Amino acid sequence: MNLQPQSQCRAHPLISVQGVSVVFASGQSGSALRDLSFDLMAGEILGIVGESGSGKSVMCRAIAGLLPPSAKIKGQMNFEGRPYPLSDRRLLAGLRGHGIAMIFQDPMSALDPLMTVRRHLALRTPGDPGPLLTTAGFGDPGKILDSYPHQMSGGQCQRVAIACALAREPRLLIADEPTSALDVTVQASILKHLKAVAAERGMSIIFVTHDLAVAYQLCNQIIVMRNGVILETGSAAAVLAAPRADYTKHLIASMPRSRPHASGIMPQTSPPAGLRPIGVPSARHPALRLDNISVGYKTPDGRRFDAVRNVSVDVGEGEIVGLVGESASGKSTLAKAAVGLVTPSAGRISMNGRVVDWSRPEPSWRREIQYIFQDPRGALDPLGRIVHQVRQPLDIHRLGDKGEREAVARARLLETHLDDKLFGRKPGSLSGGQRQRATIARALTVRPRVLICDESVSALDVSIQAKILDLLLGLRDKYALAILFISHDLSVIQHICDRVVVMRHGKLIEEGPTFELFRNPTESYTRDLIAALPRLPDAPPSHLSEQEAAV
Amino acid sequence: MILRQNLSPAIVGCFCVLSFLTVLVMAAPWLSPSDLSEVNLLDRFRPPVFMGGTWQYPLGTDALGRDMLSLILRAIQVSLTIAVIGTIGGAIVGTTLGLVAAWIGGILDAIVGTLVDFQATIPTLILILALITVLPSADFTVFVAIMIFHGWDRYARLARAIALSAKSQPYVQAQQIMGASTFRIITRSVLPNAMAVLLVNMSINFPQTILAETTLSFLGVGIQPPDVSLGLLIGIGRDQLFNAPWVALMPGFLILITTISISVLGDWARDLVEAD
Amino acid sequence: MNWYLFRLGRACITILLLLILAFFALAASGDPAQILLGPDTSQAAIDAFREKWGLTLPLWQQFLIYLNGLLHMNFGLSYRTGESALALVLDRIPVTLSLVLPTILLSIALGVPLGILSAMHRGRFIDRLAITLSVVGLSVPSFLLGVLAMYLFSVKLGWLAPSGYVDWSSYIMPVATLSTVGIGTYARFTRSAMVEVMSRPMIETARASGLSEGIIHRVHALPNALTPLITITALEFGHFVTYAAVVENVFGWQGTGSLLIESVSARDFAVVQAIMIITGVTMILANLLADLSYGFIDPRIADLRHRSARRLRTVCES
Repeated sequence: MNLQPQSQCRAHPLISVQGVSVVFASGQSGSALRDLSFDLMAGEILGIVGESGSGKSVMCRAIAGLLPPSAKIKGQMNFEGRPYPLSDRRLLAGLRGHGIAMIFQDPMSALDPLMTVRRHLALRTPGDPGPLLTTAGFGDPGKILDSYPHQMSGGQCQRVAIACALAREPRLLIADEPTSALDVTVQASILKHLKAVAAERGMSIIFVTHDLAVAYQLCNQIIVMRNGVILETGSAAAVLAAPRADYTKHLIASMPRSRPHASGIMPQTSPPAGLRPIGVPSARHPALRLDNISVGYKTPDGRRFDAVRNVSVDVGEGEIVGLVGESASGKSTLAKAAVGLVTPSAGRISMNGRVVDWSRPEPSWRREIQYIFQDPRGALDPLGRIVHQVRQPLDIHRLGDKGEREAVARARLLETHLDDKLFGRKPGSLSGGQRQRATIARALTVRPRVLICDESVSALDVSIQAKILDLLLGLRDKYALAILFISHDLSVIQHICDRVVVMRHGKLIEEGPTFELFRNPTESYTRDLIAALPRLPDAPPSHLSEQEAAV
Repeated sequence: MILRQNLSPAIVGCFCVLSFLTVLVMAAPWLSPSDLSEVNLLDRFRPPVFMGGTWQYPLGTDALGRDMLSLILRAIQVSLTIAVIGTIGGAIVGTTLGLVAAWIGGILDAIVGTLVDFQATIPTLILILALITVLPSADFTVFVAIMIFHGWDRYARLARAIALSAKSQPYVQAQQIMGASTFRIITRSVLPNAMAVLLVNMSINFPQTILAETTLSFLGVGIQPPDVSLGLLIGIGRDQLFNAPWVALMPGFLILITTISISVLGDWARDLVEAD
Repeated sequence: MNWYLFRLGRACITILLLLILAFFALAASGDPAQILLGPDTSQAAIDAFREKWGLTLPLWQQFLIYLNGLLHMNFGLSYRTGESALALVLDRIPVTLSLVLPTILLSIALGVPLGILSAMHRGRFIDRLAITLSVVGLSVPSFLLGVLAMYLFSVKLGWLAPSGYVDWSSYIMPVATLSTVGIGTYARFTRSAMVEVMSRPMIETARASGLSEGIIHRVHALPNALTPLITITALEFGHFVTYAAVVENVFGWQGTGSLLIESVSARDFAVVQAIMIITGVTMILANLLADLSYGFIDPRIADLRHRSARRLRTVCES
């Protein structure tokens, strides 16, 4: 069988998938696949790109034989020259480990909390775990061997999961969004190691991601999926530099990226609807001023721990300030302190020149500042109808009579471009983007001067994210809103913000106008962050502005 | 939709049993053929119709010649009423304490937490027996209070957990940011969302309450004669298992179908809630 | 703060609460002078008695005297027999333990495997059996099970002696009655714990890296699902002691349970109080032991003592 060596492998793909269809018996629990086929050569990296519901994860699980029994699978694959019907889960189970291995998105729950790293690896291979961990990107494997999962960071857990997957030397590694939950610098390092392993072992990788830029950096081949169908396939450079399918073009255009006018000069695009001159931050008193804020927690063993240390941020009227940082940088804590969800241990918060103390809030302060959460599903009461929830701030502050409140709520919802058929629905039957529009509408009912967006677009698909970002930009222009925009995603920050503040370990590292900061970062940490940012090939700029104009 | 998909014959059967019992409880005074205190020593140990008795006493008589049908009707009424009021009372007391403790935090939370822990650790029945020993008399009202005490801790624990997790939920934080009062947040957002879980817990707790009351009555330290409860009837009947088994077996059967029906429904309801 | 110390302090507070409760119940149970001396005693004699036993002192001083008595193993005298309450209870404990210990062993030995099998074969016969058993075990009062068993095996079939201790076969009905509850509880708990663990992402990760189902069940699912059984067992111990009271009563065994019921009926509070304190303290210690044992089993708990700021920061941020 293995008598013909390399040449055979060159000619035949390592894995060839033909006519995969998946239907779920119960209906909603995942999107079905329709008649998918693709080939993958040994040593190549295939990126599967698509938004949520595209069926990309379902396809990977189908190949690995990991779909639940409720899924009806058709189709077959050839793996190393042998045919496997995909409906035969038992046969596929025999392939796992040495043939195909798979890693998943959430690294913190991927490992057994009761086991050390050493035992995790010993279960899979009798050999020395050290080299495996080195391959997975640990500089000093000895340090980590006797750790338990809860003692490690997300990136470390994911590396251990990768080591586990590589332990039996699989020919194909399927990675389902393995870096989406990780910081961008960690992501960069993991991608680098995956690429190296593939080259070194001649192993193939199927890499599932929602991020086109990541796919572009890592993969040789790319498949674009939507609604369970392959829309486009080809080499990474070809697909992303010159996409053929409209959907791919749309996806690429939706990617947030640097805009020439995001450097603080408000351009001609802003509509003249605003009441005040736009884009000129009032120098005398900014709409929101966070002055030397510190937030401390008490650890269980009684020590004090500062999540935020002496950070000062100003946001002017009509200005969008980006607050960027990796996990545990204290950016969310700072944002929560600004609205009183967290009590700062030191420092002063002022709005429009007045000092506010959230431990003794005045109702009128609440109307001046509003907050948009990351997860729009969680931010809406699952039991309340959309229009009632949008009306709620008016109910609370007893503004106007019932009819007026309803009218205002409807007006705000229309302003956020939510279809009026949805007003009477409950949040459960709305999509993520629609829900986020509703929470934005709710925040706007009381006409706040300051808006805090805490990772508000991070949970959304790229195309929806682009629309919400545009909505925010439009609202800023219309109402001269001061927006503090928190995100871990530098490309989003670059896209929307006039000024950027970088935080790390609770401290302010660097701040400056977006354009300047991205072009010429002074701190090495900022430079690392920017360097780690996966990028697409440069697209013709006309593309983007067209798309924007359309929305 | 969901309801229809999951309705099995067993669930329908349990519903029927409970509806039937509810009707019995409501109509007990009118259905009852004779007075509870009516003793007829000439008619002792008459078997029920299905064991060869006559229609004069459809369910037979006990050692004092009392009509079993009347006794059982009254017993169902007493046992179920105590269990229902006890369960609902426990739910109200426990939920309120748990919610308030979690929301206010600090010393109040510590106190409620310690009490809940205390009751979870020490077998409740023993605490109740100690209470009964020192209480002057265990009448109906006292018994309802005891049943409230029997179940409150579970609701308090649950409500506390719900409130703590709700506090970190964005939709609750969003209301805080909007300026809503704590009272408004708890009554309009937290409680409605916790209702399903609390109701399921009630359906699990209800059989436990029946169990506790009937057990105490069976042991002779619960409901006192001349009043009767299902447990007391079995307690009386077990001494006559040899010559008049129906006295113990009929109320036993009733307890069996009641608690099993509620448990099955409770499990079903929990699956529904968890499936959401 | 050290987690072990914290847990220990909590146990002490719970014991203190128990003793306060017992003391106030005692105080509320009536004037001991009236009870012990009888209704016909003169006022002077009652006053003298009260003076002698410190009943005129403030309540907190009485409580300290009471505590001191407990520390010297003085639980008071039984109003019924005049004997030491503690001696009465200690005398009965072996009988109760001889019922409870076999029951716990049997419940674990049968309930846990039943739960595991049931979780692994969801929807099949064994699963239905386990679910039915646990519903019956949890919703049918043990006195009713006992009475039914007695009716079937003693009255109808005449196989077993209805009550009292005759020979080893006398154990069958009481232990079986108690175990029905226990097996149901363990089966139900084990089943839901297994189902929960098997739905965790770590199981899929293990599968995806090529571990066989057998290994996954053995090394991942079982340890994670069964660790909480320690707490369940500590709590179940209390339930068994309570149910034992009922079962002893049904089958006419002379254990602490039947002593408890007799004393409650006779309002003999000294004995009730002794049983309550002994059972309560046992339970508190059992729970403490269970909690402390997690420090050795679960690395996450072991780390609570020196949790680093790095972890906490991650917690705050999420």
